[in-house]
Amino acid sequence: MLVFAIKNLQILFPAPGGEIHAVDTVNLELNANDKLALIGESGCGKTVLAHSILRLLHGTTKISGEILYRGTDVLSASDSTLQKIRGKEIGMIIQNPGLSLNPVLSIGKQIAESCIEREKMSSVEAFKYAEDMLKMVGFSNPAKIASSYPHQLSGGMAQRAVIALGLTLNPQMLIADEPTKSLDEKSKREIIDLLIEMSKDKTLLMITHDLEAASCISNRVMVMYAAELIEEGPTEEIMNNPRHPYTRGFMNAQPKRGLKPIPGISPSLLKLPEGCRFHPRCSYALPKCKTSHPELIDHNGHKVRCHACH
Amino acid sequence: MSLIKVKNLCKYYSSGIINQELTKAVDDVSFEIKRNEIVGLMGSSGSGKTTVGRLILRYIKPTSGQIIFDGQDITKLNSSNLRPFRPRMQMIFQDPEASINPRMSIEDFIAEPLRVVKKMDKSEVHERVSQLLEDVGLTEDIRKRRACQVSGGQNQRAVIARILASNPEFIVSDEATSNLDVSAQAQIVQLLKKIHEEYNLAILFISHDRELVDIVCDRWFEMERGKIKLHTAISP
Repeated sequence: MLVFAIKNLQILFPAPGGEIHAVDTVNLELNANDKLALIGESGCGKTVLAHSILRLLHGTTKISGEILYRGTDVLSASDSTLQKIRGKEIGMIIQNPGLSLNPVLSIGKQIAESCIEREKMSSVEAFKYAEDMLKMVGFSNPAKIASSYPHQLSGGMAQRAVIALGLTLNPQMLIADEPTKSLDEKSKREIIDLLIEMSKDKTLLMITHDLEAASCISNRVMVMYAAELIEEGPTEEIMNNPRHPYTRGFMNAQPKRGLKPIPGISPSLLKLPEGCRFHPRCSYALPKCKTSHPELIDHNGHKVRCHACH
Repeated sequence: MSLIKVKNLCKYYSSGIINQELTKAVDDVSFEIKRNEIVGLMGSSGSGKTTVGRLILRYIKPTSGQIIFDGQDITKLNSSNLRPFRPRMQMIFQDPEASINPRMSIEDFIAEPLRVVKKMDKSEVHERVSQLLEDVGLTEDIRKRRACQVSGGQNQRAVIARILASNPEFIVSDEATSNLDVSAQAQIVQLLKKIHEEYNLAILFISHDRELVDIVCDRWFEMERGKIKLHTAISP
């Protein structure tokens, strides 16, 4: 069953010297229980895409296209409809927990806040519920964590707390923005296991550049480069048989696969290169890559945007 | 001969006023680093890796133990006596955006040690900055930009350029790549290896990524709760 769809989404930020194309004509569909990993370099538009889903972007942003959650267009929804979707239908696990949590409120209070506001719980109930949530995400001493402040938690613990926060209102769909960033090996493994457990009967959109996390959690992978989707397919297929030269380069840059960097840097979103956006860094570039912009073409469920792959 | 020698280094923090608790952040750590060697320092968060890095560079004062840099004991030196050592040992931090003064252009940021420490004049500074930008793989058009206008990988390159400006002999790289994505990480790590060869540097490479350390380092050791747990030589 189709739960969530994005159609021709374009996001532009006005900037001095033109407009920044943060997301360019993105289409995606998520069925119930789908686990999609969106991967790509920093600055390719992953987080902007995630934030646009709950309309968290700044008011001057120009957004066009459709974001449909169970048939409701989020972009044109009224504030009260949006409020019903935020947190309760689509939960968000925000990036960088150390900085995103409110430093002057205890963890318990931050979780309880939304229960009091949204579920009309009494304060006592809400704090009890917050402790249950913390217990659910694997804290053995939830009462102590509930009364601690963000600076008293380690990176891995803060990430758990943020996951609890995202799950508070029991949403059907979860967006996890770089949940394993800057964690050490051990906590990373624990967070991956926790996410697998917690998203069992939920739809998940995970944004990451951690290929290990993506291959453990997701069943489908989308690769973004310079604001557009360049490759999409089942996780195993993409991991074992990436077709776009950028995806291959991205995989080979992993320490496990030899730490070979992709030459050059990603283009400025203010002035994107003509033709294929990857061609200045691509070792397989053909003459026509400089002039014509490739389309996303479906090869038996494995979509690639590349002239050289056809 | 070893460039850095650390003997029985300890750093304890006490917390609480009535019931004083002693946190042993670094507990009896000893090792040596030779010139022209990259040594890895691994461990999970909170194991004391960063504290060791900061102690060696004398950003913080050890509780006990000895740090010998190039044959001289720097453990007890005060800040003015440490001055001549500062340019010779440098640190790359985890978050490049936070290392760069947001109000400075990348050019000023790299040129600062040249002007302040090396007392170079304007044209010399300009020339040396060009050389440094080339060494770290940045282009000239980045000079006038600020940290917020360039990517994380480029910022980290600028940080490395500034560090190289003072001709160091020893660099501590504290999770220099963990805030970057994989392809920028690969670029920065290859850059570190390149400058290690070109500038004949000793590097202490702090990281929690086992695979990365295996690729980058000549040998590594691992810390757990302030102590060195494993000390392994990767056969040359």
